[in-house]
Amino acid sequence: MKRSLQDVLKDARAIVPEVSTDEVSGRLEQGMGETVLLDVREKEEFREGHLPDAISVPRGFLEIQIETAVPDRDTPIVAYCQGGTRSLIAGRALKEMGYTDVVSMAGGYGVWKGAGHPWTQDHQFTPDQLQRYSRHFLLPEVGEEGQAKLLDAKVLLIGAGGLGSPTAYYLAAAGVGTIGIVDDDTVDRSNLQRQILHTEERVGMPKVESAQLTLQGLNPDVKVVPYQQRISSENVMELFADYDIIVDGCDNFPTRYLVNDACVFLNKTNVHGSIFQFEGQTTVFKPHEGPCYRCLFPEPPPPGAAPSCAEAGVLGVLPGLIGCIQAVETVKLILGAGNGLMGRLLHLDTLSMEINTMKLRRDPECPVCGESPTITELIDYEEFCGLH
Amino acid sequence: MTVTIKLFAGLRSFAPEGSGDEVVLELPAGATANDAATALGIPQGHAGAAFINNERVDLDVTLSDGQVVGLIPPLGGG
Repeated sequence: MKRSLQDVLKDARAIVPEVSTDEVSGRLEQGMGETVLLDVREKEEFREGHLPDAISVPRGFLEIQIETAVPDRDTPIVAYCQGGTRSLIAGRALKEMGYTDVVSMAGGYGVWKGAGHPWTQDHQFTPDQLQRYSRHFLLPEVGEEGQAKLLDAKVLLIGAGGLGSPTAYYLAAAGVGTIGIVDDDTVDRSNLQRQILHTEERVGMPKVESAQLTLQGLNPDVKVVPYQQRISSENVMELFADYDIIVDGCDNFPTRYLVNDACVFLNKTNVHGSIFQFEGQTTVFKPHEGPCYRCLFPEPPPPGAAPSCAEAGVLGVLPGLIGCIQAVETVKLILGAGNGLMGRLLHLDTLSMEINTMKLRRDPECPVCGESPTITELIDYEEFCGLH
Repeated sequence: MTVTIKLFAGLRSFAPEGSGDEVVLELPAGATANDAATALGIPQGHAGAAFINNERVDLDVTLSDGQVVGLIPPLGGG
């Protein structure tokens, strides 16, 4: 039996109620609660402008993506398209999938905009960016909104070494818009077994310069800001001020305590990574919400108790794993997606390939972030670690 | 009482030969995580942090019979 478009629409109207743009506008003004505004137009149409807070699931991807975008079948959904036809057909498909409360906005975005109701336009991506980040756009947790957040984010990496290399690589690839890198060192041939930002021909070059060459070669969207200096009590507050997230991939304890204290004082999240031979640790320190480094390790180890990679050796792949986890945590923080490692220490042993995730807690007696802090300004961290 | 001490990273070198990374220790009642570290010859300050049931506890926490206690040092490298 041949069926016309009118037949199809008639059937759809029988199971998907239509609401006017004015009714939707009224609901928007009262606060939508759990109601999802579902834009089923093509991505190009969505980019031109859409209802505030609408999510985009094009009709062609509806059945594939809707369960991720709207997991609860009882969530109220207001579907709309440009003229009210595609959303009606989409509504029927949603009903068939078991969504219980679906309506279609009659007249669609065309009537909505024409009536002077509010609309917004998202970040405008270049054609190159649409290609580059296309796999991110497919993820509801990232999407164009999340990619815009990544492009606007400013992340400062402490160290362009074993941990900083993979972190910087993946943050740049992900399109984190501004990546600052602090490192006063130059590339040594012994670094190349693990510090993948650098190359044989750059031996002797400042690491931050080598990092900048690599990262901008990978992604021209990224602004790399090199700081060829050693981080210290004198420069840390100024260095951190312009950044949203600090990623600690340094190689010594005075710097770890300095980074921690500065992050607490400036209320910056610190994505921690540290390694020894075959084992690594990573966590997220979010000041005043979760524990800080001092809540975990109140006292630095005695000098010589925790040897560096140069002294004890390190498996080249290890910082790749830990640095990648730091990159994942940083991206999640920027997106506001998933459960971060705040309050959890992940310890990885590559020899047994065992991962232990341990619960951390804030220490009410922490001298920096506790109830009655005794350290309220930066101190001499070399002295604190017993190094002079 | 008997406790099992699980050693991580650089602390593994303090495990008695042949015992692997998990060391079963006989300790007097009232012993702390610090006492367990000392019994293994771990110098003061090297242990870093203690964990019981995968939750961080203070090193001076009193241990109970049958507990598994993790000792984790801070790691320096990057």
